[in-house]
Amino acid sequence: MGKQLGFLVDTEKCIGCFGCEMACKNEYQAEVKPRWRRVYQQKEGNLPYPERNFMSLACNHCADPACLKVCPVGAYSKREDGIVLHDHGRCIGCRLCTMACPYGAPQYNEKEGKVEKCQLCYQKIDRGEEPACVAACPVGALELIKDLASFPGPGTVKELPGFPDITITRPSVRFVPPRTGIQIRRDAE
Amino acid sequence: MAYQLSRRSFLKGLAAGGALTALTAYGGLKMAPTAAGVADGYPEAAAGARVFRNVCPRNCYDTCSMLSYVKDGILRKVSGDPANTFTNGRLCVKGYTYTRRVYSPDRLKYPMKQDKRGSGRWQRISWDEALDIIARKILDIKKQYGSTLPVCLNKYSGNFDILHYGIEGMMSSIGYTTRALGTPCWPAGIDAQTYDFGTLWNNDPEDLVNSRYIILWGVNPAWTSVHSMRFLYAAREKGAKLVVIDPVVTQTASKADLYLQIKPATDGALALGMARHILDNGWVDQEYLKANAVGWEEFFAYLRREVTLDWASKVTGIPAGVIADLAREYATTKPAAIWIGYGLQRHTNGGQNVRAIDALAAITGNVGKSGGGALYGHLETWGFNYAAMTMPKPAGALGVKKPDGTMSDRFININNFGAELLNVKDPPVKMLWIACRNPLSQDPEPQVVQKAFENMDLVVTVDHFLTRTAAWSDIVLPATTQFEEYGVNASYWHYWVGINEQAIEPYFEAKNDVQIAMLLSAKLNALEPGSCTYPTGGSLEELVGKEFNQKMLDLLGIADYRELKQGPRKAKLLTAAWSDGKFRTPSGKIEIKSSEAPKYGLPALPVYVPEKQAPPEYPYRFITPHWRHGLHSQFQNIDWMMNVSPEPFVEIHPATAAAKGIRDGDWVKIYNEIGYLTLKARITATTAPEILVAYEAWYKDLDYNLNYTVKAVPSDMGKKATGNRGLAFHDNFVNIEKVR
Amino acid sequence: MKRFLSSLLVILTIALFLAGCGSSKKSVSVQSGSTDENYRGVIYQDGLQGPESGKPNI
Repeated sequence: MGKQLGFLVDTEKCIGCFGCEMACKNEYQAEVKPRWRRVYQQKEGNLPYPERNFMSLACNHCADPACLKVCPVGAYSKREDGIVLHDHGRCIGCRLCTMACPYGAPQYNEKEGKVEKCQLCYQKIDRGEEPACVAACPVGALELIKDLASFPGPGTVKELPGFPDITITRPSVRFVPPRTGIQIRRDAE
Repeated sequence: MAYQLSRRSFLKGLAAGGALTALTAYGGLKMAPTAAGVADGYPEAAAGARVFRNVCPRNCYDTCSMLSYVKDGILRKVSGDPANTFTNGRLCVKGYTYTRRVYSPDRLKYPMKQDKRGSGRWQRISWDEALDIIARKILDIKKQYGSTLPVCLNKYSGNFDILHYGIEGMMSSIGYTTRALGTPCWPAGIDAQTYDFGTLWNNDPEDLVNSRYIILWGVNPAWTSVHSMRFLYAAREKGAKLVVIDPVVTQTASKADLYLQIKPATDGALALGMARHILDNGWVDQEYLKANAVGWEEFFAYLRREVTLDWASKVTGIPAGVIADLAREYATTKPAAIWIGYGLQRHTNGGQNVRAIDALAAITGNVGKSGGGALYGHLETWGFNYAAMTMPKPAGALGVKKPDGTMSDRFININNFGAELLNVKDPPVKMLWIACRNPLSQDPEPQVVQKAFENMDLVVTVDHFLTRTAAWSDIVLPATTQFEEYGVNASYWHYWVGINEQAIEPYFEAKNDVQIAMLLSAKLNALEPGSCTYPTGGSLEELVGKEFNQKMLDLLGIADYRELKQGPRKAKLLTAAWSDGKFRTPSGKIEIKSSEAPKYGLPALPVYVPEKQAPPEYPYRFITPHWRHGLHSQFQNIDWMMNVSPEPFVEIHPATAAAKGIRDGDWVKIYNEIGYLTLKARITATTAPEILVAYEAWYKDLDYNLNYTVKAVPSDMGKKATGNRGLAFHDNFVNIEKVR
Repeated sequence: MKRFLSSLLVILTIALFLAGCGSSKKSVSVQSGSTDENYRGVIYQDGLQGPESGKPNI
């Protein structure tokens, strides 16, 4: 196995603008419903102050992908660089992968009768470009980790509250946790 | 495999048929392989496309430089243009939906006529028939009333491309007409900065990186100017502190180092409290004031006489110690910038509050400094010729007689459109032309606007969609998007100017406002020669060329407008506004004591004018800011947007929800004496107990219009620079109950 | 067995009917409108002179 690409999700910088999610749709002119990348709002109670904090997630291109394991027709493969590819031509739409993935990354497209998911813009990666979501982030809250094994990531963590158990599939994603400022609130007393 | 083959053959047909045949099935393109070797069925949408330069023409700080990718006459995708260092090659969530806006199945394709206004019984008609109806009505009106004053134009910010001012030109070219004058957006703040500095002019927002202390005052760039966030973060990385002052914990407040939850509309009291503390501690920049300002002695006397930290604390709800700390940090960490938002001036004392903040920046010497400033907006890059707007009147045209014997159009207040339209007499308004505008959705009191429509013989709306306004019109005309027309755009925030190239053919029978004007002119002159002076020919690109003068060219460092085809240009303005010290007030200085304000019935000094209080029967302030997924009534209706943001909601503080027995997700009714709204509750402590927050937007197929509860109460300023006072949108009071 | 099935069918029908009633009774949707049909707005007189013409609405 070679290197493993991954995503760095900086929830300190992320403004939950949904730009990444829509840039993904724009890049592939995707169907309306499936959300290859999806912006999740964090529960207010998880934070010291009531705030609007978000987590942008796509396929985590796991080290140990559950989708690949359960697919009965071998529609999934893992590239040398760790990208988990889904072959739309092979997919029979059985949806086992959608049930196996802890992150909801593969999604069933009712219109097509098949599953689809984030392919980490592998064509762009092959050309040395950034994935569409990363290139679209206006604040640099989404980065491509070129090699997860040597990712030093000071101040980064492997999981955040609300993120599913990482021991199942070993997702290739790291987070910068949110930083909370001070709030002078009128309902404090 | 058979499936893929069928898709491929579909694609071929699409290419041959051009744009028109592609539209209905556009969403299906994704699975079609565009090149051999794409085995997995995830082709990139823009492979092999030709690239055009566009500008997003929406009413937005960021006015993004865009690239559009076109293949076989179809817009395949969009992206930001990296040539613009402010927007930095990125768009926002709205911008990335453009392909779905252009090819939305809901888009208007043809001119249509409605049987009875609001009936929904639409009939497709030809452009010729539509223009014939319109032209005959104009000529009938002129015959009956002796002038075209009963014809009224309401046009504003749906498309800020300069050529779209051609629609004002069309109105001028038929005679004197009635015009909805003003701006609902930001006029109180404009006048405030006009009284203080002579006009509004913010530092280059890219200069925010040089700030060491930044106060984001009533502004939420994380939603309304996403590209500014990068500069704010860059400043923070260099050590700057980000402070947000806002009644609600906005998205921007969630990213701040310090957030102050101020009582709404009391911003002036906070600024004055800070100023008093700064004065008491000797942090005033006396040298700067002596050289650049007038009236500061009287301002200081007012502070000493009337303002204390305790008073400011009582008015604003912010502890006195916090105000003192904020004042110290702001006055002693230089340079310090304040970004004044448009939300804080949408109050009956909004302009006055902006003036107090301006004064705070002035007395600390932060005006005219890189990294400093009292940033509000600017129009420094808007010095076009407005050639498309400037048309001669036809011979014999009659208008409103002015005291000097000359004639003028008749102006009614865009910010009280419904009531003024009902009220206007001698002659009444009988025909409405609405372009780049959606008053039945975005105006306060849409119920009154709708009543005023009842008096009309003819309502014509030009738009992309069957908006709430279009749905109450007699004739709708389909408008082109920016991808289908030529244009030129400037921003009221950053310093870039860009050209907008036509990338694709117009969608079905859509036309640009200027082209509509030309066709109407031809029709009018055919029916009555000499009745319209608008040109009937000429390309849009030629007209773009006519918008440039030497000053604009020099400002952009170009010899010819066509150089903009190579990329947008940044205006060669001073990086720090007012760093030349040449203020445009009557005295040439910062007028902390304004010589002009009293002429408009306003205090000369930035004294505190008390905020509007809630009446007992409607104890909740209903704040209705801009929405992350839309720009006014644009974008939220698009299918991709509905997918991530399917329904509206009202944000309610947990204490208020508990008192009213409301749980998260419950249906609630918000109401006051003029209107109501039923929607779902979202319980969140990002708002305050006495504040309800819902976001203005137009959702597809949902009867959502929060403006039914909003009265057309004017803000304090706006008359001087924009013709009419603004709107106190956020001085709106309601009650709330659970729907059982 | 037959009787069991038919009674099951009856129960099911009643249950579906009741569920239908419940859902139709609680159908609330996003709505907005006027609460005073006679409201015609207010003319705010400021008696001030603004610019007279020729200014684009920006």
